[in-house]
Amino acid sequence: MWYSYEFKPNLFYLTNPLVVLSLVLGWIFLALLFNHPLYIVTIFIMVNLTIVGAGNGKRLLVQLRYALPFVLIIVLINALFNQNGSTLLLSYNLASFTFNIYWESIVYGGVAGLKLLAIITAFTFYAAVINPDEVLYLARRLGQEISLIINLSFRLFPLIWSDYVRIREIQKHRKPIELDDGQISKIQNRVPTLSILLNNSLNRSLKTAESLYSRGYGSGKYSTYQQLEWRSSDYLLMANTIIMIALALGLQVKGLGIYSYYPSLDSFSLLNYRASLVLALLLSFPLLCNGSGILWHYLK
Amino acid sequence: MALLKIENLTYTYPDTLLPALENINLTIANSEFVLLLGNSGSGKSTLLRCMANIIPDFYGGKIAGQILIEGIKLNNIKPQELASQVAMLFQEPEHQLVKHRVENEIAFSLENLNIEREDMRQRVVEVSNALNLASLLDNNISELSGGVKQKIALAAALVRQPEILLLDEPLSQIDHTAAEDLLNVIRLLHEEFGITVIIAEHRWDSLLSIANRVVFLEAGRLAYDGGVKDYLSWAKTNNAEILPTIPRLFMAQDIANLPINVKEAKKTLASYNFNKAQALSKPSLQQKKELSNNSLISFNKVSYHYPNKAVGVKNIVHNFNDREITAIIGQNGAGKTSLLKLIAGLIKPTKGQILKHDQSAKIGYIPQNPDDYLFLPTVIEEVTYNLTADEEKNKAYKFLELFNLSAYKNSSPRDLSFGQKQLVVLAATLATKPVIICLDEPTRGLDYALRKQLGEILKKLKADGTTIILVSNDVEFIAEYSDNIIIMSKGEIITKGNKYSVLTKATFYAPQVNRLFKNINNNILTFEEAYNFLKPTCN
Repeated sequence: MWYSYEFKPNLFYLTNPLVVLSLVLGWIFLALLFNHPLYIVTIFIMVNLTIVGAGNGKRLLVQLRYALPFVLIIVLINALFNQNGSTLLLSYNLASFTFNIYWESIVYGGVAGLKLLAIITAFTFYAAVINPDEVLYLARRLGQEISLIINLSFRLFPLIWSDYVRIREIQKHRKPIELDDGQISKIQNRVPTLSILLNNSLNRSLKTAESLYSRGYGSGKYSTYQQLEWRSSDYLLMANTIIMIALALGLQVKGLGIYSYYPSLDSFSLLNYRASLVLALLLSFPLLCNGSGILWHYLK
Repeated sequence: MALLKIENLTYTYPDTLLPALENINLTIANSEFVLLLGNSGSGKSTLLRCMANIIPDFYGGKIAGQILIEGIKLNNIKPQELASQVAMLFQEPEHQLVKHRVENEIAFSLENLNIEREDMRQRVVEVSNALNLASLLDNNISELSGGVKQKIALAAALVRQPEILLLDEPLSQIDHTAAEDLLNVIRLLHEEFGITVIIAEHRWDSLLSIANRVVFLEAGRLAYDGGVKDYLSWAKTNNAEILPTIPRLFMAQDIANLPINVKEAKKTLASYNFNKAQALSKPSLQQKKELSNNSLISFNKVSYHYPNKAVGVKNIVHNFNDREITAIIGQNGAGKTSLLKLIAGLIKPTKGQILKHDQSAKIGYIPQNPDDYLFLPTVIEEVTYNLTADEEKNKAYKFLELFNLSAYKNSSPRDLSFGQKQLVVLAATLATKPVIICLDEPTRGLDYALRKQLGEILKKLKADGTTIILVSNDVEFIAEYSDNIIIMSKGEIITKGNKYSVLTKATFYAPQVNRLFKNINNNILTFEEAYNFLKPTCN
């Protein structure tokens, strides 16, 4: 199933979950920190390439298919309601309102959408690569309740998805969608499925909690079965993430991460291109390690 | 000293007035195998939860009386200690597992008890070898079948090395073969390791030969506590519940010493003299059987592949005729549910053609889990959903009467018992006047009485002109109520035909009465046939 964890024999799956978590948080930090289109595009491309390199191209495509409509909505809303640009592309009247569509607001919406996509795909990578059992080991240090919530969320997502598919089939059979049904009818048609899904999920959570209680979860001191190892590759990847974040902060302090969209788009300086190249190199480091196989030597 | 002692236990759930358990007194010794029986809502699950201290600790509510384990009050035992002494296995395997890998799931129980890592490794290896799970330790749990998941949940319970194993209908949500496998493990644990087992199960015929004690609850009160054979006589006298086929058959012939399984029943039969005519006779029901040739749906080389390319069904060629009950059987992943969904139109074939001879004929689909179907606030709204004409609604009300659900018409369907929910789904389906009804594992989770009720309803529907297609591995039910059988494996039809031609040749798919009369008269498949066959000899 595209949405559940499945081990693949590559570097990312053998990396310490704390390192993977740091890498993912690093990507999200970068995406939130910058608003420069060059850097955002770089981050988006590199995150996506890393996901493909980790053997999850199909999963990425499914995720992008679901996320793209939201990006288009962001672009559209920004284009319609942000009137601060200077390059007028289109103007039309609707009732007593005049809508002006500016190039700058489209670019701004597009970059904001890419930011969102970069963050979503970072989570895609996290969900694909990290073994949920290892997350529980990591999170248990933060507290048994937190670890339980994190673990159950991971576990419940695939279950909820398969529940949704099954319930939808049954409800579609119970009340088929007619060809002449409008969008509102189609949405209404999904209400039973979602209602059942919610009820079943709550019921499952209660039963799981009961079972955990009977197994003594959270009742006192605990031990750990699995020992999470730190390999040489983990130290290298962690160092790379730290350098990447430091560089990003440096760029921001120097003002190289700031970009102005309104009233007209700033131009890119040579320094921007150079910084973007360095950023790309740092972002591609895990991918290069995985591809070159150099670190396999240390792993073995 | 008693291992487990319950004294004057009375328990009331929060926000309810009537107690779920009332004045229960029970003493259970070491190494006993106790079969906990009672009708739906009699308090079996509540009592098991009290023994594990899940009630009242997890559920709250009012509790009086006390439970002692080896003389120590349950609420004086630390949770970690209690979890290592008492292990509980629940109905739904899916709800008990929280980890991704099998090995981690088993070890998780020990982590909670703060066991040393080395010790954990030894215990995990031991228990996984004992339960034949060693080859699956690295597997992803979500990809395993329900039966294997239940076995993993059992392993996670046993790894704690408990003295008492509490089992709350552990077989009800898994298929027949997996249930047999799990039962063998439980038998081994009890016989070879002396673990005290207390099990509540709706379908308990296979447990009769293992259990040495029966406790019967009636409306939260202890109605019977004693030996297995005595229970059968008690149940008959008190009309407590429908008994499994073998003891019921001999009870119907007024035989005092009731056999509890096929082996014992064969010993009883050995003392009888069956004449040649009896041995060659064909049951009257079989002689009368005339199958229809009026095809409703035709499958022409139909295949279905899941989006991940896995095979659902392969090259199916079959005609489903009207006014017949057809049962589809086979192991997990054989393609039974895929075939049923194709018939109902829930999924479309990826290859081949399905020809529906009457395009306007409605097909009803009843899923395995009624909770996937019901969403409206009241039973009556569920049954009249999608109906517009008053006449249609009035007919729908009649189904509620027919299924004894009228009293619940304004209740929330999700608050009903599992069996009642199944009947609400059936009523809602029938209200749409389907020509064909497809049922996926309809007897799963039903007790003997509800199974019988369902079977009789299906027979009546068939007599009224409805075609019924069901997926089930419940051979006793299939032998009793179906006309045709399809056996599937790896997405293909392996064999098909009249139930007499398929089941009388079978070994593991043969019902108990057929196994009982094997080599005496192979044609017997139903209770009525067995009763009529035995009657002249007993008289």
